[in-house]
Amino acid sequence: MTVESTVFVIDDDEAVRLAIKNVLESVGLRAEAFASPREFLKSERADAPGCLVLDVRLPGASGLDFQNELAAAKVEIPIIFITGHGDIPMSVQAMKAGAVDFLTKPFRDQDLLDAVQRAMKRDRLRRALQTEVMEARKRFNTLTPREREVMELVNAGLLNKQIASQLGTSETTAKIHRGQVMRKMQVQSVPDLVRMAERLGIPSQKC
Amino acid sequence: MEFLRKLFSSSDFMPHGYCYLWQPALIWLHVVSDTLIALAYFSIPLTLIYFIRKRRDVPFNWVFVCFGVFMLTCGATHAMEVWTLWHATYWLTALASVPTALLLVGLIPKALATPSPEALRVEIAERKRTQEDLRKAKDELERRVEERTSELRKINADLLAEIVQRNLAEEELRRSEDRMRSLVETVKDYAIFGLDPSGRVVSWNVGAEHIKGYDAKEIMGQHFSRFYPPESLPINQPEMQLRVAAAEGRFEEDGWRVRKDGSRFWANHVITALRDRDGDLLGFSKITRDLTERKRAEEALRESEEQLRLAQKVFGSGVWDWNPRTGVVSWSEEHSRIFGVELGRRDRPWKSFLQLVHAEDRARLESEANYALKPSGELDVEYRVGRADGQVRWVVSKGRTHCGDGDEPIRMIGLTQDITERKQLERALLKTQTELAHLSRVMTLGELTSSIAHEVNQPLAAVVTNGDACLRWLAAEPPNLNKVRESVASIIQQAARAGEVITRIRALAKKATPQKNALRIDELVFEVIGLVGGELAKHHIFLETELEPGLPLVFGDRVQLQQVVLNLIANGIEAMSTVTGRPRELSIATKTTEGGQILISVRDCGSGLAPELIDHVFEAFFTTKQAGIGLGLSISRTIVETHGGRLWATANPAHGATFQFTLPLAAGAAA
Repeated sequence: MTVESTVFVIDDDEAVRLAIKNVLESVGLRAEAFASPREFLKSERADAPGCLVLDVRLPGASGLDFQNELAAAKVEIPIIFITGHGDIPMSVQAMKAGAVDFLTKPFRDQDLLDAVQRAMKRDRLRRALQTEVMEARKRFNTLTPREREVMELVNAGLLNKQIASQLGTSETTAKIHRGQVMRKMQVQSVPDLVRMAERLGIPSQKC
Repeated sequence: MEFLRKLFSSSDFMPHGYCYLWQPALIWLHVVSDTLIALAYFSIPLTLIYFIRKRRDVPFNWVFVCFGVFMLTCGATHAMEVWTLWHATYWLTALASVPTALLLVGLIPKALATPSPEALRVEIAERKRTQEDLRKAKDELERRVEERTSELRKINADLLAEIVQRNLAEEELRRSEDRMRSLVETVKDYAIFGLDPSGRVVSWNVGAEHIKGYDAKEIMGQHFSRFYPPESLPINQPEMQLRVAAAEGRFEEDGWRVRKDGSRFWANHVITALRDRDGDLLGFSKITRDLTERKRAEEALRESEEQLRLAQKVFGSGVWDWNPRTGVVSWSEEHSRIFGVELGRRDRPWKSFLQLVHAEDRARLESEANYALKPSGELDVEYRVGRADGQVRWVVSKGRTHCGDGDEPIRMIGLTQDITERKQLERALLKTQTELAHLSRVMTLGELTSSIAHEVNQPLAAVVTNGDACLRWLAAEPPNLNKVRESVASIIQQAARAGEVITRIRALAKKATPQKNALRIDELVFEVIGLVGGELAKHHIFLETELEPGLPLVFGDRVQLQQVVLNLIANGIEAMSTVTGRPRELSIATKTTEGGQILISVRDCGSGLAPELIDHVFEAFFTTKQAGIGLGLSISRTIVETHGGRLWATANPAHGATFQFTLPLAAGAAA
């Protein structure tokens, strides 16, 4: 377990949030409790590694609203929802929006801890991926406009000949550009390049 | 004749002076001597005149006058002597001398009668005596005269005074008669007119004109029977009345009379016989007073008394009148009926009256009555009457104090109404209201089930989670006992919290007779918030509370007042259910008003109230919700009003509405 990771607990009911914090700490997790999303945002910990245990029913904006708010702000901290009552449509909505789990109070501590573990793992993966994307973007930024064109076409599954015809160049020129792309993007194979393009959000044009 | 003419002519004679021409000095001697003699003679009468003027008391003073005249004529003869020296008018001398002689002859007897000095002396002495007596008599007389005069003067003065007074009196009488006449003539409310012995009108005042409609000109000389209604004429009423008046001096009756226009009026009539000093009948005076108004007023009074009696009977109300000075309460028949006492006995001393009042209410009635016993004091008190037949009746007494000039209460008058039936209805209504309130409460609780479950669930979740944590702290190597202790403390706290919620819900769900106690309103509000917290969260509503610290206690039924707050919050939540795009805020505030009441307000920022709905939201079965039955606000208003408060709604300036209610303070309330 990474020491820096923290579980952020947001519940307006003080007794509940302190109890959750208590049980998390009892297994050696770092936990911080907040009475409201606003309080959490104020602490500027939204980008910290960890996960969020969020009560669905909150005064003002609901937990689901906050989930959307975070998504819109591209804060992708994993969220475990807890709710006082099993509201199925709400849990479906939360899960669709990317929640890690949806627990109904009172929950078994193991369920919470499992969910927290999953969330932590997802956070770690997310952070790794994020690092990868950032690296890929850094590399992508070194490409010339022509190389970016070539990369898009490769990503779209075109052969050198086809690329040359598309760009109105010779096949050799296309081959050289492709080599440059592979080198700058630091990939060994076309599938690797395609995966990287995917992370960068480059659409795979199927012509 | 010729002789006579010659005799009186001067031309035929020679002036006397010629005789002395032989010695002219003789002429002058005669002139001087005669002149001196004449002067001497003339001086004597002058002296005599002086004498008698000074001595008017001298008797026979006419003698002196005669003597004087004699001397005067003697002197004149001598003067004539001088005249004849130069003029031959001897007849003139004769004229002076002959009458003188004749006069003297006539004087002689008188001169002889003049007393001699001796006789005069005697006579004078006698006369002096007589005069003395006379003087005495005269003094006496004068004294008497003086006395009599002063008496007369006094009488005179008295007479004068009396005359003055009489004049004044006459003047006054005249004036008073004038006044009387003008009074009689101008008095409008009385017809005053005179009749001759046969009953014909001889005088007529303005009042008569006013009341009867005839003017003086047309009625003078007419018979007074025309004032009588036709039916009284065949029985000869007018004549009969005159006859009675003539015989007895006066006749009086109240009866109908007829005006000129034929309309009738009820009037009081007095016919008085007028007689002179000898007792002969001069005629009659007749005074008529129009009593139509009074008769009408009497009839109205009778009617209103009858109405009052009937009203008392119909409304089961009795009139009473308490005189605090005599300490006696008197009352109407209906009042006796209400109190179940014998109808005949209509007053009692206050203390004895109080014995009729139910023992438990006696002290209260007495203190209320004494409190109202002040200027413009009003009594309004409900109490029970323990009747002799064993029945207990509820009555309400309302009265007002009347004061004398010095503001001291002199009486309190009022009504007492039997309200036993009303009280029974009120009890039945209260029961219904209580049941309805309970029903509404249970329904509200039903609507809030999930929220209430949440309210129980929250502490339970905390209990379970803390329990798990506790086990893990125990299982740790070494066990973290501090954390174990904290966890267990929290478990106990949260278990208690869950228990409280359940207790509160049970109280709300229980069907209980309202019981009023002194309450802390903020505590009550917090208890309700504790039940609806979940509901608020479910609807993403921010709750804001502004509870004034240290509010005085209110007096009321905890459950019912919680129901009101609960209804208002539920109403606010509902109103905000469609709000998007702005925070949903519900604000609950308590404060004291200037009127010394407590004001509890619940403000939402929901869809608000259309002005035309504001008056209807408190009506039963009025609802804008699809699921509601529209009883919550109606019941809330009933509850608040039975607590002596007021519940109303106002639209907020921006969004939503504010529902607020007041509650009176508990007697002698302190925070």
